[in-house]
Amino acid sequence: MKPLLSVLSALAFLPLPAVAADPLVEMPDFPLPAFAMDDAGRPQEMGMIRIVRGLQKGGVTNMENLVAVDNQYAVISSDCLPMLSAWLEMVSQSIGIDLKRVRTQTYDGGVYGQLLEVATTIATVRQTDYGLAVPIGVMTCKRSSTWGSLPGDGKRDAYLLIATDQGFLVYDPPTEQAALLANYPNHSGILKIQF
Amino acid sequence: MLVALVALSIAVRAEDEALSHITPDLTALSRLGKAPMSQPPPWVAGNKSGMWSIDDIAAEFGKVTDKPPRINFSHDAFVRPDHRWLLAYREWFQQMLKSLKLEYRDDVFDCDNFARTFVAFANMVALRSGETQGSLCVGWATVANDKAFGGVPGSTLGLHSLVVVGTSEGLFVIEPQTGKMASLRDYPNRDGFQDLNL
Repeated sequence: MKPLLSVLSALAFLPLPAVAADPLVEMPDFPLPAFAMDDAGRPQEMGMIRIVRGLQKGGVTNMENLVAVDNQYAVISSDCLPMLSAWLEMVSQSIGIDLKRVRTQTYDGGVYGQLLEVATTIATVRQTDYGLAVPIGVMTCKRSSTWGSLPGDGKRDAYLLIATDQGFLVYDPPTEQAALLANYPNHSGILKIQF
Repeated sequence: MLVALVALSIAVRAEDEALSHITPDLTALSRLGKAPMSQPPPWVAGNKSGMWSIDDIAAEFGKVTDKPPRINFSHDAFVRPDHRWLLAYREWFQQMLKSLKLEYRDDVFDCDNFARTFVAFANMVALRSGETQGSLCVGWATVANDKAFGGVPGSTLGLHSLVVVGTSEGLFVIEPQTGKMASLRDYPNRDGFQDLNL
């Protein structure tokens, strides 16, 4: 998406509206992930080649199912996953949703994955000068095999896929289940990965 | 490898290699402040605009282009917003961008981030209002934007991301950076869509 120009910058002269007194929700501020750092103290970068290699290590063979729209991503430190998980739980709670019970209704993991990706991106752009995208993606797959409390019923399901310093991690927010992609039992049934 | 993961975070519990649990760390979260945001337009749960299946959405594209996008989805059917709600939400979104001072920055906050933010908050508003029928028929799409639209110049150097919404009045394209909107039929790059992510 590099060639695009900022049209918002043209609006910079407009006065900023006052922060609304009537808040949407008492939601916690957008969470800044901890990033894995290199020796120079900068976030470790992950480009397309490293993404593809990591996914291959995780058992993904068909890269036609991969959509990664940014050039460079910052690898996330697995230290911060419990904080990110808590953020998602608290935000859900603030809009009246019990995240642990949400799978009993119509559930779309893509919505929660996208929400966390957006929230961490907003925190990163507001609080850092890193020119790197946040590698929290959505993975859609056919769950042929049982994984923890999730049945192997052949249904389509969506999870978060997070590029961490330990590898690609599959995470299901309602059950809090997680696994490295290579160990996730349905990695051969992946239909789509979006970063 | 899994042992290393657990060592890094005591809150990650491993039962076996294929299954760990990430326990939310509420203490770490308590150090965060609050995110002030204005009230979005109210969503009416149980929205009566109807649902669209993937086939319905594909058929709508088929009416105006011979080159429909690949549609990526995690659900089979999507709730169509009332068109008036979408217009109000679009205005709210522009205000929200300004209040959060979100501006374009390569990779970290560029066109796909604007589009995904539009989609994520739309679904959040519906969830907050108790919408249980499913996710909204609001997705982010990649498109070859040869022609200018919505304040974004045309370019042949790469793909662009924007928002596609199926409302009570049909399929619409929104440039989330500016709020400009057109029906799919009138969108100048309608033959250039690559992927629609719902």
